[in-house]
Amino acid sequence: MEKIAFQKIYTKISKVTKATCSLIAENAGYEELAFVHKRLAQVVKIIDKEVTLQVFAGTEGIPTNAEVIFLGRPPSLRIGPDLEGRFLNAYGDPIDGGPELTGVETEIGGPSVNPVRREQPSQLISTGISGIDLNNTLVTGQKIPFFADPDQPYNQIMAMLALRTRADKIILGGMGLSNDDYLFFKNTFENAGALDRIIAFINTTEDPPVERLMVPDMALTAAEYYATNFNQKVMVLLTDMTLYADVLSIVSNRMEQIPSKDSMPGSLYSDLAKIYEKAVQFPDGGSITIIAVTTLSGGDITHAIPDNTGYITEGQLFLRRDTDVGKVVIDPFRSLSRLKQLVIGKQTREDHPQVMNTAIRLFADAANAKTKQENGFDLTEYDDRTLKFAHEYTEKLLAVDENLSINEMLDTGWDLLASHFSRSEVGIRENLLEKYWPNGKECEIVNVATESNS
Amino acid sequence: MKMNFDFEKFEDVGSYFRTVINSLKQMNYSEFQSDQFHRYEDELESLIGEKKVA
Repeated sequence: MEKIAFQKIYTKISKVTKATCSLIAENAGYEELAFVHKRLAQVVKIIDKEVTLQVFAGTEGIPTNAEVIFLGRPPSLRIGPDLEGRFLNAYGDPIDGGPELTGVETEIGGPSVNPVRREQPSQLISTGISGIDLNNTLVTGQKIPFFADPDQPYNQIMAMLALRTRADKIILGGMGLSNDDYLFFKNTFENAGALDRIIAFINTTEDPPVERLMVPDMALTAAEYYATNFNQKVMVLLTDMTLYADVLSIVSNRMEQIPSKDSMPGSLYSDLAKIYEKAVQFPDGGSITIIAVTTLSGGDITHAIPDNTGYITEGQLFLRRDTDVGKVVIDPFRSLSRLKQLVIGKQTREDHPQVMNTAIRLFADAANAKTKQENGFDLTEYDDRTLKFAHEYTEKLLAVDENLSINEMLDTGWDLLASHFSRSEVGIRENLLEKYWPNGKECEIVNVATESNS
Repeated sequence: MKMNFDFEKFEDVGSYFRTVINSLKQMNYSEFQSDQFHRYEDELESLIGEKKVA
């Protein structure tokens, strides 16, 4: 336990709830850390001299005469080059059996960057996942959530993003991870030999849930260090923000605050915005991009957590299991990256916007054909072709397990368009058709059409 | 503007209008009143003429 010379020890707790305790104390500040009965706690409310402390490990067994020692500082992280490749807990202490951190003690949870010191995001950040790079291209400094059902493999996708994303540093903030998930992340990163560019802050289900409130701030403080001092492109992956928000609701409930929609605290929007607004593009080239997972309860996007998240972030990515191909895909209809227009066709190949829009339009035609099929209507020859196209498009481009460069995705897109449609059906600009349409493909289409008509 | 079109089979309707839509799109991509623009305009008029009922 930390010792400070002449520190004042309080021994008269006036009120104890499940997560908090209150006492009369002097000179305490908001977010200041303290030890209550040797358990770490944080100041969450001050009214006159009555200070309320949130005890991270819970208050069970704390007597009213327990020792309370204020540390005089808010939570901090030791920041330095030795952070790289480390697995740390919510307090920033190593959990990987490695040495203690030796860097500079830095306060976490500072303010987000002043808008006038920011640059308009305009740099592409590629992930190798077509559902993202092709249809919902991300930009450095963007903040975007994955909306997923709890049974979907979102942590595997986070690990995939950590390994494939072309960023200088990847910082993982794991909240409420099962031990299996934690070991999965650890083994995946170790086996890929990618630890030198990854830092992970982990709160597992075995740790006190309240601790996970510090994980995003820890991750973002580390991200700010690399983005501002070394002008690096930093990708922050946060999983799962729903579990983070659940703890916000538990704490606010125990502090007897009036709950808002879905039992969430009234400050939910601000609490989430404080995290997401740390995404930034600096003029010197450094950037922080945030991809977070928000699990949905029964796919309900009207719940307060995804609803508030949607107002803050710049789009959303929807995960869905496609029953036709049996793979997890990024739903092209429900997903959107609001900043993609800043880079597609500008930093990517000129045909990117047209290939993307055409493929999704034809995929929508396939969805209509599928509805017709399910309702027992006859399908036209065009409907059959759209269905075949949709199957291949899902398998080769929407499935998250395909790893392609953006040019390969576009070439695959052209190949699929030419395999199933004629030039006039795709409606792409003529000069692009001349340049990129695969030679000889259209003849096959005519044959397919003739065969199915006959 | 109201027009009537005549088709032999129902299946022809979709494919015909997809071709019409493509001509309109290509016109939209072209510079206004350019040679390319007029080429697609002529193509569109000819397409409409093929199926239009007088």
